[in-house]
Amino acid sequence: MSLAWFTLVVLAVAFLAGLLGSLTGLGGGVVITPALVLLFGVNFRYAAGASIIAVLATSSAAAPRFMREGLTNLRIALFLELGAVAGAIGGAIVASLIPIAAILGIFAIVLLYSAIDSLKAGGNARPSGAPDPLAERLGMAGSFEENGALRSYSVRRLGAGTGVLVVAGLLSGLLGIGSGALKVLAMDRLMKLPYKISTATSNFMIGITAAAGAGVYFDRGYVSASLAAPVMIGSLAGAYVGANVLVRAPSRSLRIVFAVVVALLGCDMLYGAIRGIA
Amino acid sequence: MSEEKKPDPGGSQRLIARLSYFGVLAIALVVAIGEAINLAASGGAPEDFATFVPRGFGLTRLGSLFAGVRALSGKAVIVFGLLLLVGLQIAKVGTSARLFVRGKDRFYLVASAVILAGLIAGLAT
Repeated sequence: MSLAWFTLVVLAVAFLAGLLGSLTGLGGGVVITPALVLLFGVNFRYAAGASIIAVLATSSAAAPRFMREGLTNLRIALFLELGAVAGAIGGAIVASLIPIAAILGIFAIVLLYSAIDSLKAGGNARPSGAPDPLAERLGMAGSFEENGALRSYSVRRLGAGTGVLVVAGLLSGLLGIGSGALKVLAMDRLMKLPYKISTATSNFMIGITAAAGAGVYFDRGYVSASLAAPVMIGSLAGAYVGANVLVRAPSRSLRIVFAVVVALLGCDMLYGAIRGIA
Repeated sequence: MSEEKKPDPGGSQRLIARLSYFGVLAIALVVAIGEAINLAASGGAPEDFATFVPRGFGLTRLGSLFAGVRALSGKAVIVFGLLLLVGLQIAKVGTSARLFVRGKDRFYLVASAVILAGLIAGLAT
């Protein structure tokens, strides 16, 4: 395949990655890495470099629409990102002490369970129980427009959510993957934020997390310019479309897309864990 | 749920939205120009992505990157655009910090500063 044809095909795959990445808050890497490795025989290191570019592009292209709509909660994003950064530092320190296959296996089971749990949750039911007192003190409550009306929301179980984000950071430090899925799950399932707020806030956060790790990828030569260029442009276009779709789409449909993508990610990790143990 | 007016995401949020919008457009243009030069220079020959050859431009070799950009090397222009994309994330956090300076919100100002320091440290290592 000539470079021009290869570029066009990668552009199309990256468009799909950006679309799904912005709709789910997972970033485009979930699609890019397996697609490049399995469909095009790209070396895993180049695929990982392209994946981080897809995440950066998805986060950047979706941000303007989400911010204008008031869907990104900056306070929650920055607070949770502190936990993720602490976890990432911890992950880098203990990387050599932890059996990676076991971690992948546990993470895979958590993702598969979460995919089923997320489907059961249905649309945007209002959570029961009192808001978290610390979250209230830190001014994390917010509101956004849904179906033409203003909807207020508050944060539940901030401590548990932050704990999951520390684990997400730890996984990022250990494996370089999966933090987007845990970010959305922590905000959606534990902190009981509306699904669109969870997705948009995760979209903001994954860009920061990816930027923190990008230097290593550039320095080690994992970012191939010829591969990263169509990935970036395709992901940007896909994420732009995805962000516009998310604003209008019903939460129930978005949850189904999220659950399917997370389940596939879980299966991929389970396969990686079994291969690692064998 | 109440029937009130549409929520105002706040001045700084709008600023981050504008920064991301125009930043992404400019970066996409840079990368697209680089890719066009790269494709023209390749003469349609396929590139081997199956074998890893470490030849990154590396942040420690920024001088050679800028020399490549000045010489209109397609790959150098693309990598320059990609580094701008990383820089855009730093700008997003920096602009968020501005919101909290204005609001005299010390907790989130410190949080932004810690994340900003983490980002810069991550890029420097």
